[in-house]
Amino acid sequence: MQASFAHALLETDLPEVDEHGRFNVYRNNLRITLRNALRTTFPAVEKLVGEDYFSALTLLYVERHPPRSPIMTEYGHDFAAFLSGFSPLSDYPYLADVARLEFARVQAYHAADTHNFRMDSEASAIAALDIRAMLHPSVTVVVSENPALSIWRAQLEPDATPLIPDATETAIIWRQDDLVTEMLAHADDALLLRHFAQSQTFAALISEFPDDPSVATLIARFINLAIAGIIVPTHTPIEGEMK
Amino acid sequence: MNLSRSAFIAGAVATALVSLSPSAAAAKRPPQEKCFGISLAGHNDCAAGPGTSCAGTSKRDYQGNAWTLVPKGTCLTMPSKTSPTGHGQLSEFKEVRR
Repeated sequence: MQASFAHALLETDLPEVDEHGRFNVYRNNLRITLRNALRTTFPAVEKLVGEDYFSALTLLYVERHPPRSPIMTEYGHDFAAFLSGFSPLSDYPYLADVARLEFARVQAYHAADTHNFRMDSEASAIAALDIRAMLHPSVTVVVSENPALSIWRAQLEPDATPLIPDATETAIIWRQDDLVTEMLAHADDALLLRHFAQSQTFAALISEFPDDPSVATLIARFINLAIAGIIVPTHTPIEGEMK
Repeated sequence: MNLSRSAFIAGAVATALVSLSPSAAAAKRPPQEKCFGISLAGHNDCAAGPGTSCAGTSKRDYQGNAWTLVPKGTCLTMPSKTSPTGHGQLSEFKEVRR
């Protein structure tokens, strides 16, 4: 009974189910609500394909990928995968990356809080190198063969810097205090982001490296990412160390 | 860790901290503040996503508990028709009718 009801909600080619059209009203409201949820999460994708196209595209997505959770902020988790597999859009490979970015922003908003590293003195920065650390729970890294972050910015910020065609961009999305933020990853960040995907110390990363400028660069990037709140201590600092 | 490595790391940390001038850090993201009482109906900010009673849900113009992000330091200069001070405020306020 439930399964056939759910099937009828999503199947477009069914005959009229009840003569007064009440079921159709319900079915239509459901689709519009889900489409509006996607519109809220993916505003740049909507701007890129246009309102009419986005409307048709999302109704198709709603049919093929109905929500699995009642939490609407989680709806659209595979919208990017749907876009990259959608052949009419195969000439626009950056759309899926922009969608990943936009979904990551909503997830970042709802991720757990943690404590940041203290980096207010040389001593505290040196101490941080030996403390187990991880990526902030809000962090998503979007690796794109396209300038995805610049494309996304250009849609939502009218005075964004013009984008460089053919650039590849790796974007880090995370929450700083209560604001979702995004930035381009530095060339040396990939190693750090991989290393801190599990709880690790910075010292463990460089233990095999000789003292050379590449280690100095890694130290500088670690401090930058720690100040930004992208790399955070795994454990809550003990009393007295907290701000 | 041997002494020369400790010295090398201390040097690298010191260099990294010096290169992080406060202005460079601030330039990454212009500071913003939440400004209450200046949003037009349906245009309040918030990035919480769909299904939340949040962004774009304010019902009236200049609603006292709805906010918009503005460049830091400008909120108190923004006009608000419902605010007792006539301007935006940094926290929620009770609207006054005039």
